[in-house]
Amino acid sequence: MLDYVSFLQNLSNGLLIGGVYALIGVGLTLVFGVMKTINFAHGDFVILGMYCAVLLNTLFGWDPYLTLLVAMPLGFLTGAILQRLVLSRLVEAPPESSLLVTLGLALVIGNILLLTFGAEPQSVHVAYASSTLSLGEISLSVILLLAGLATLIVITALYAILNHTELGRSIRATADNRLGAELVGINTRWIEAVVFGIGMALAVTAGVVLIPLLFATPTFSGAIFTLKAFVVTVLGGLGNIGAAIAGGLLLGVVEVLGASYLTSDYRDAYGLLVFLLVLLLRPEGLFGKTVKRV
Amino acid sequence: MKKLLAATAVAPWLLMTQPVLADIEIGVINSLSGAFAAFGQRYQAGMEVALEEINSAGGVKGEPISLRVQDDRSEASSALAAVESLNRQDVPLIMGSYASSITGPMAQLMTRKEIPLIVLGSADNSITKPGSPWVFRAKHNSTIVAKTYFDYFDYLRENFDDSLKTVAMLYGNGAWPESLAKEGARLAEERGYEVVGNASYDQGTFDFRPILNRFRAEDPDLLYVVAYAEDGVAIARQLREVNLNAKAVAIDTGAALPSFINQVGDLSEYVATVVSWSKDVQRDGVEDLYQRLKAKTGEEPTFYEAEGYLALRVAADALERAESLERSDVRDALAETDLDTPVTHVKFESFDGFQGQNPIRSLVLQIQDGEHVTVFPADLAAEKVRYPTPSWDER
Amino acid sequence: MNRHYLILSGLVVLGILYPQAFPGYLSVAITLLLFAGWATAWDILGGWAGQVSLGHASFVGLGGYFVAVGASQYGIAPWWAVAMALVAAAVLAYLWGRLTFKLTGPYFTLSTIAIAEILRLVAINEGWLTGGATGVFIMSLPEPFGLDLFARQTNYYLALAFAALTVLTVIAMSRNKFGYQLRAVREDEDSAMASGINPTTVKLKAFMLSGALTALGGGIYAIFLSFLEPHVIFYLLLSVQIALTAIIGGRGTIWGPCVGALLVVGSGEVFRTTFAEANMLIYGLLIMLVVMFLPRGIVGEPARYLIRRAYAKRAQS
Repeated sequence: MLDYVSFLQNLSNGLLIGGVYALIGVGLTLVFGVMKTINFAHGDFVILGMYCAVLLNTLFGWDPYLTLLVAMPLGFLTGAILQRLVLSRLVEAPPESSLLVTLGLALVIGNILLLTFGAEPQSVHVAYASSTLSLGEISLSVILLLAGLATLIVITALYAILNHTELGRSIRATADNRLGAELVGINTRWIEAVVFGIGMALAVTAGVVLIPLLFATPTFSGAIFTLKAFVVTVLGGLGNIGAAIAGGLLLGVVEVLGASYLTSDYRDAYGLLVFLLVLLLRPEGLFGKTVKRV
Repeated sequence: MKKLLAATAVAPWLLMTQPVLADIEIGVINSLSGAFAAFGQRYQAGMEVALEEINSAGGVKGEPISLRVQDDRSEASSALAAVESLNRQDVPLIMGSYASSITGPMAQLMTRKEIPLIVLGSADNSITKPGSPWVFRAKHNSTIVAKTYFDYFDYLRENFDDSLKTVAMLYGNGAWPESLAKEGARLAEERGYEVVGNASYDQGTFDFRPILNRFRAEDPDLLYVVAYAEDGVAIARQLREVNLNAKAVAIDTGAALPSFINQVGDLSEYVATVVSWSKDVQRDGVEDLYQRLKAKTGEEPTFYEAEGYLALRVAADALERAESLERSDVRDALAETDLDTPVTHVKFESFDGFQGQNPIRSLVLQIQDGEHVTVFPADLAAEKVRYPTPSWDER
Repeated sequence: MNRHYLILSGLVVLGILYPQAFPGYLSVAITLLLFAGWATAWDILGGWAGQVSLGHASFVGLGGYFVAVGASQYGIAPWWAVAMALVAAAVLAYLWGRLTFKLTGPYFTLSTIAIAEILRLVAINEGWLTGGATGVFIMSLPEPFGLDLFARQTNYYLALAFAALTVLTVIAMSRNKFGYQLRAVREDEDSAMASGINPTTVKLKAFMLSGALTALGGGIYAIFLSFLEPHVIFYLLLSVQIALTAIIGGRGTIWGPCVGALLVVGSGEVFRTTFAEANMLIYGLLIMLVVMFLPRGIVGEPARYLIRRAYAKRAQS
């Protein structure tokens, strides 16, 4: 009954969309892993990246991918500064404070964008917006392929940094045991700033990569991206980088297959249902290490 | 913190003692911040153009008019507070707002308080059906828009291609898309079209490939899409990507914005969309209005600005004719409206269960050579319809 | 602790007089009272039991829809609709809690978002049940004892009663066994268990109470708006606003949520009329500042200071 070609088409679309989700989620998971902070402004960081691409495109006509050269360092700096100025003050505060302050931050970012760029949705139109590559009878969107490629590069680079550099070791040490890390002389306060910076740079990257596909709106889509990022992160396992990819891919496939073979109006619910199931049955995430949480 | 608290406590008294100005003040409740700010700002620009026009022509009853604008933050409870606030300032009438979730509660409250309401943006049927003697809408509603689409499809069927039969419908799950889809489904059945696809999506979705792939298997003659700006662009791009060919494609709202053509490029050709106003509709004064709106915003104006303009023109006309600025007199004057504007003719009527609704003739625009062109109804059209839409392989 | 009852009675008296003094400012006051009630109700779960929920809009929606659909489609009087909504909300909270209470901290919070989002999609897509995305109008309501339920004054007194009821519940709770059990569970579930408290049962009771009270407010909200759209009333942002109101004021305190409502709704209204487009920006900044400088909330922070000082004094003497 199931049409073989269309199933493969849907599956590959799901994987490609999943790649985009993974890119959105990976920054959130990194920040959570190290700082135990749920960043509600993550989606708005993604939007910031989009506007960065829009701005550079309208001013200088840059291709969105070129703007990454500016957007990533800028995102890193902004993130690190935000962490020093705002989040670092909350170490002594109750655990939900960071969640709240980032909620406030989300409102602030969205509304600054609204005041500067206006409420009109903006996008960058690229010539390859609806080009496809054909693979037998299956056609793949070029933009989604590029996004997938970006995800792969970014996550590989992140993995390399975490596992093969001194900085990475310090980050992992801080994530595992903050006090222990401090005892062996790691300046965890700076590590946290760096991590938040990387998290923001990753979110901004996701925004830039998505702009040929999507519109940037100042106050509307931030929360949607944040929610997707949460789902991805929890599916994979909060704080686990590699698993964010798996979580993203899973979410993409579940959504697309659900929308194709069940009914499209519950598309977001399919992802959320799987999310709940994972939360309940395996709270450490599908691919997280089984640790006893205290 | 203490200062802020004190400010919070004192502020209502400050607001109450604001000086009353000499000119006639018209209340406006508009979404200037929050989710609907994009539309709110466009309505605002349109109202300002009308304001300049009215005041330079001598105002109303020999007095200049001014607008008392209050932001509703794109939410109903702020709009209700704004109604009370404007009520205290004794405005003769209020214009507002964009979303039906805001305008609906406003209409209910203002009916009870007996303040005339001129609907600014909300097109939902429920605002004027059953309506109230205090609520007036010069722009279209879901039924009128859906009917215009199917009149257009009928026109294509009669004049170009009597084999048009199947229609696939795709719409967001917001109030407006859903009510257009419901009306569309009803009209499709009434007029002998077969609905071969019917799918909705949650707002914020950007991947329509699963739905469009399903539609492609059904090979529909007509595609009836109701989407906002972002979704509209994504859908148009993905139509090409999945190679879905329909003989005529209609995309409501999204395709009516100038940015749609910029964003979608050549792929936007042949797409049709229904609006209440366009710059090339065959009416007096259209070119002049177009230039003024364009000068105000600095960009290509849309039907949103025109609707803002229209609402204030209607308000000023009623105030001019009203015996006094008493609200009941203003209401009576509004009910008697018979006004010709460069946007449309306005006359509030009761029909088909509607009340205080202008039976506006909506227009179908088609994108031709990178421009929105009015193609239907024939007597208001600037150009001929291009039909059929060639398949993607031939473009 | 009788002074809390005293303060409440004083406030209620002031509240009763308010419409006479400011008849033109009822909508803001209604919104404020509803948020005070919702935030207080939220706090039973979020503050007293320590389970931060970002899904309470579901209960507002549930209460609102029982009243709206009941009135417009089945001709059910709003008081019966509210009574049914209370039961439904308690059942929903029970099932919801059963499902998710084994999760803790951020995991629980995330699960509430997920469930609330699924419920939002159900409310939008199941048109036969809710009237669908286009919303429901409440066109007419019965008039008990000639009372016009749509009138702003009536809405106001309903909202006042709702807010007073929730605060009363919390005052009573703070002093009885249930309140102590809640705090024990919040501080340390294992020790609570050791002293014979079943944490899940206690949390479930808190969630059911919190949900039912929130739904009650939702019913009043529906009459106040007289038009409901699922997008708006089941929206994540409403859940966030309710939680923020309580947290800004001070979680786990009796008056914190009310003070939070005064600040959030009051400042929102002032900013709306004074800062125009920038009002949401100022609001966001305000939230950040409160969290950064008064992390336990406006009431919570001074209360903590006072308690500490009292301890210090006692230790000295």
